[in-house]
Order: sequence, then structure tokens, then C-alpha cells
Amino acid sequence: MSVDSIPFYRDRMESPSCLPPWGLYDWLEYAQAHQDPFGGRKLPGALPLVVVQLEGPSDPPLYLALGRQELRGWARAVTYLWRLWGVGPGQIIALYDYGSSPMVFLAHRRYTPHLQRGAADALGAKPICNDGLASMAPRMVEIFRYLRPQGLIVRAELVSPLAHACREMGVTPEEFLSFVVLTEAEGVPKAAVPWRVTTLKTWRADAAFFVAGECPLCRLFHVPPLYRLARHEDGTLLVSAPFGEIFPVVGYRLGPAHLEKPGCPRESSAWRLRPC
Amino acid sequence: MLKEGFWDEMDSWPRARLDRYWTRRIRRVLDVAYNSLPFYQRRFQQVGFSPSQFRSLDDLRRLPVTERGELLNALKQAGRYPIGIERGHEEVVLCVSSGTEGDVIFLSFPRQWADMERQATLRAHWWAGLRPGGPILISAPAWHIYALGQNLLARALPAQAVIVWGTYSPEFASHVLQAIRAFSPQFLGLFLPFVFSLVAEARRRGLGPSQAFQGVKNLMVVGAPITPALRRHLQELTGVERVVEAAGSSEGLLAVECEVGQGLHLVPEKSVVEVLDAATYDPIPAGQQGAVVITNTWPWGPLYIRYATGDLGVMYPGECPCGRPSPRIKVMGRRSHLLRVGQRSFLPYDVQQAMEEAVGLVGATFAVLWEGLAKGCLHLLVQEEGIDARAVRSRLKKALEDYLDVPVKVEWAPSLPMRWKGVPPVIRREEMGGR
Repeated sequence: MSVDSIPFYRDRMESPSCLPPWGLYDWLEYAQAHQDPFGGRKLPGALPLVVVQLEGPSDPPLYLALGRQELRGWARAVTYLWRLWGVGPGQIIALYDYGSSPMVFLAHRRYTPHLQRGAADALGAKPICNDGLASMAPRMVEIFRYLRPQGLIVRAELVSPLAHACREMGVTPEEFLSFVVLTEAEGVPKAAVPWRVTTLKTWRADAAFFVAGECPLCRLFHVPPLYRLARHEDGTLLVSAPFGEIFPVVGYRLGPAHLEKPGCPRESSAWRLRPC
Repeated sequence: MLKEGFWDEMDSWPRARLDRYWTRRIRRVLDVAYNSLPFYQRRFQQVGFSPSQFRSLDDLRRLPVTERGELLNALKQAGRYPIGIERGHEEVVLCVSSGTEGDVIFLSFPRQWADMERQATLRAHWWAGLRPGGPILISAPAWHIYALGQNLLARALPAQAVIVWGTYSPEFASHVLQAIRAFSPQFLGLFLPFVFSLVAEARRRGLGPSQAFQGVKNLMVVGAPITPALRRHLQELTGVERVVEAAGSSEGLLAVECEVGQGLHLVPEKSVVEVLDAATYDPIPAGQQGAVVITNTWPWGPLYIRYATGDLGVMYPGECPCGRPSPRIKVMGRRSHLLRVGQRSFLPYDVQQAMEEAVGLVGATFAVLWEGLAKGCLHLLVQEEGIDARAVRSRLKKALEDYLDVPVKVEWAPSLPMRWKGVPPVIRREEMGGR
């Protein structure tokens, strides 16, 4: 599909062959100027199956429009990460984040209407989700106590209240967790966990349906093969998500990063990102 | 030809046919429990029960009632979930109950559970006025069973789903409000306290409350019972034509009001409900308040058989003028929220009704001060925001004392502490922060 038909891209084109890269604030500005909840990025006339309000303080909020292909593509990217982290059949994976996070709503087909296969469905794992409020940390500890999940994917800002609740309630996550993944909506989280458990991070740009995951072996961020990466002349790394059908992503600025060639034994064909 | 508002032919069945349907399904549930679920095998053995003894719904009385505490004990003793009441292991999604009473209950829903849940959710929402065509605001976070039900609903209709960032706590009211205004759903299902959070947010933005709900034709409220006066108040406040009350629990209670609005019809796919004496679990006449006890009618997922949900409710006598055969119930509140003042006890619903009938104060947010109960006084903390306190300030205490026949103290507060499900019914002074 040509991006000429998408108002946001069409209006930004400097010439028929030159589409400048864009970032979150460009989109926000366009949305505010045009009073369009989708900020001009939705294919005109297309009816999204799922609409997701983007995390962030923007007022009015921005929305992602997901058709079948967007749902499938983004979920496959999340599945790729779960596989990279070693998730397998029968494992229990605990999710501590809002249900509006793609790390949650793409985890299982039961979480999201019209999603055919989430990461847990694809890998035969069992997800359990806790709401992303800090005040829900004690409930997360109860999940730890009685389900002993092998993996935890947690909103980075919740690590501290969760660790506190674990101490208070006498639960030691090291006893059962094989890995913890820290995640946040934009970029790579800075937080760390106080447990002696393999700790990994995501690199997300929800506005671009983008998610990469830190590899437990090479410690770089493996990029699922669903995305196209390019280096802009100013050195910024740009991402496109060719799976987008009604809400295409072309030339989103990921920010400064080194792109490393494939070569990790864990997944030998993956291009990898190293944050600058 | 189906009657307006009916979901399918089942809504026109005679009651006797519905009873036969339930009897067949419960027999299957009991067979599964007897043959393959360790928790119930032990329990049935203790009372010498076998499924062959179950011939009619009255035979449920042969089984003991299971309380939430017993399941929590089973979990604590096992040290791990599951606890032996679960059937099905394919494509399982694990859920938790909201845990508002401290302990959480785990639930596992396999693929086969979804068939029933889809049908039940469709019926419930159809009764509540949802029709195909508009978007559905996913109004529960992913961990909650209602989110799973809404997902099935959106797939089945089919409908566009709108997922709002965050969760349904007051600090996210702004995001939900903006999503409602951007996508104009005709149907909304919300926790009752969250309706007031949306109204407050609308006012904060300089909007009239009805502008927040513009385009909404049916508002389904859950999480607390509403009085007739509160229903009218909500209609006037939001401008929504129809306000429908629904009640549900993670364990399988599901009941929704019909167009008549006299009680909530049980959704037959989910559970059969008994209202029993709260102390003895003996049968009581319809119309009398007692403990709500459910028995699931679908043999997949976690099975709750004669399970006391922790709710107090009333079963309505007779048939509903709407013609649906399913019995009607009103869930009045949680047993743990029972307020004991001297020899008398009330639920927050009773206090709400007293405020309405004694002084015409409708829709007030209030809590009861724990320290007051300890001294034998109903010490009410009433939130000033959103109500004209001057009109009732001088009269409220005396009017409530006359109405409820207990000592009452009224304290006006600028705001009350909110939890995920709204203001808790009983608050300790220390929770009021700085007062």
C-alpha cells in the first residue's frame, strides 16, 4: 500500500519519493492540528477491529487503529520475544502491567477481541495478569506464592513496590522465577530488580507497533524480523512495520542506537540493537 | 418471532423447562465433580452424596455449602494452585478475583469454558440493551473475568473494541472520558463508582455530566446495587435513557435487569442461585434477605457447587412481567460490609436508601467510620463534592436516627479515599489522611 493515501504521511511528503522520518511529537502535533484521534495515520474509510489509546500524557489522547494484520504482526513480534526469553509449553508467565499495554493485550487471544493468536497461545504458556497499579503489588505477591510463575513481565515503575511487597509478605522470587522482563511504553527502561534473577528489558515504541527484546545471551536487543530498520542521514535509526495494513508505520525515529549485524547463537538471523 | 429484548427462544421457555435444563446441566457438573475433582470427591464422601441422588434442583440441599474461607484454606494447605475444583487444561487463562476482601481467589478458564461464557455474556448484554453496530469500550482490565467476557462479546457480535490506557480507577477517568467522547459507544458497562468519577472529570473539564455520556443509550452499572431513586438520579445526571443494574462474580454469578427493572434475572448458562438463611443455610422464603449461594451449570473451568459468594441478596417471588422464566435476584451487598450498630445491622444499601427517603439525598458518596461502629454509633462520612450539602446538613442526622433507629453522627468531608472499586464502605480515621 502506498502511504500517499494516508493523510499524515501525505502531508509530510517533501516530494513523491521523500518521506521525512517522524517521531511521537510530530504525530501528536498533527493530531492536535487536525482534531483526529488517529492523527491522520488511519487509512481513510478503514474500520479498525481494535482501537488502542496510546499511553502517555497527551490531551486529547492518541489512538492506534488495529486491523487484522496489525494485530497479527504486533502479536507475532511479542511472541518472538517470549520465545527468545525461553518461554515454553506449560510455563506460567505473570504479567504486571495495565491491560492496555501491548505486552499484556497481545499475550493471549482471550485478552483482546479479534486477536487470533497471542504469545501464550503460540507457545502453549499460561498467562496471568495483575492490574498495573502499585497498590496491586500484594496481589502480585499472592500470584507468586501460589502459582510460582517461571517468568515475570513487569512495568518498570512497579518493580520497587513489588519488591517491597515481596519482602513484607515473605516471598522470595528467586525461588521460582527464571527471568524478569522490565518494560515501558517508549524506549528502554532504566530500572533494575533487586533479585538474583536474569533481568531483561524491552525496547518499545508503541506508536510504531515496535518491540524488541534483550537477549539473555548476547544482552543486545533482538529485533523481530517483522520490522524494517534503516539508518537516517542524521544517524537516527528508523523503523517501519510493513505488516500495517490500515495503520502503516513508515520511518519512525527509534532514536540513537547502534545496529549490530546478526550473529547471536540464540537466534542467528536477528539484527540487534545496542542503545547509545 | 422473539419478543423485543429477548435474546433467543430460551427467554420464552416455561419455568418448568428451564428447571429441567438446569437439572440436566447440574447433574453433569456433579458427575464431573464426583469423578474427577478431588476437592468435591472428599466433600461428597463426607456427606455420603453421589450424583445419582440428584434428581431435581431441590436435591441440591443434600450438598453442604462451601464458603470462600474453605477454598482459601484449601489453597493455603496445598501451598499451590490449583486446588482440585478445576476442570480443563487446554489453552488455559488464569485469572484472579479482585481481592477486595484481602485474599484472592484464583480461577483457570480453559478453551471449553469460552463456549458457555460467550453465550452467557451475549445474553446478559442483550438484556441490558447492547445491540450490534457500535464500538465496545473494554471496561475492565485484562486480569478481570469481565474483560474476558467482553472480548468474547466483541468477537461474537462482532464489534470494534476500544482499549483505554490504564485501568478503571479514578485517576484514569480522564482517559476513559475522552475515549467515550471520541468513539461514542451506545452502550457502556461500568462499575457504579466509576460513573461518578466520570461525572467529576466532566465537571473538571467544564462539561455538563450529560456531555460525558452523549450518545450512550444504555448504561449498565455493576459493583453495587442501585435504589430506584439512584437510578432516576443517574438517568437525569447522565442523560442516558436506560440505566440497567447487573451483578456478577468471578465464580459464576451473573444476573441482569430486564426492561421491567424489578430484580435481576439470572443468566441461566452460568449458575443456579439459592438465597439461604445467612446463619444456617436453610431455605428461606422469597423476598427475605439471605446468603447468596451459587451452583455452576457448566462443567468446565473452576466449578463452584453450592458456593456462598459472600453476598447477601433477595430472591424475588413470582414471575416477572417481562415473561422471561429465569428467577430474579437483587444482590444487596457483601456480607463483610454488614454494619452492626447495637442490636441492628445494615448494609450500605440500606443507609443509601435511608438518606434518599429521609431527606431526599440521592447519589451521595459516603462511608462509615469504623471507630463510630466500635462505639455503637453510625458515624457517616459524607463527601461534600457534587451535592448541595446546605439543603440537608441540618436535617440529615435527625432524619437518619428516626429512620434507622440507631444513634447517628454525620461528618462532611471534602473527599473520601478511593479504591479500585470506589470508596470502601467502612473507613478508619487514619485512612482519612490529616483529618
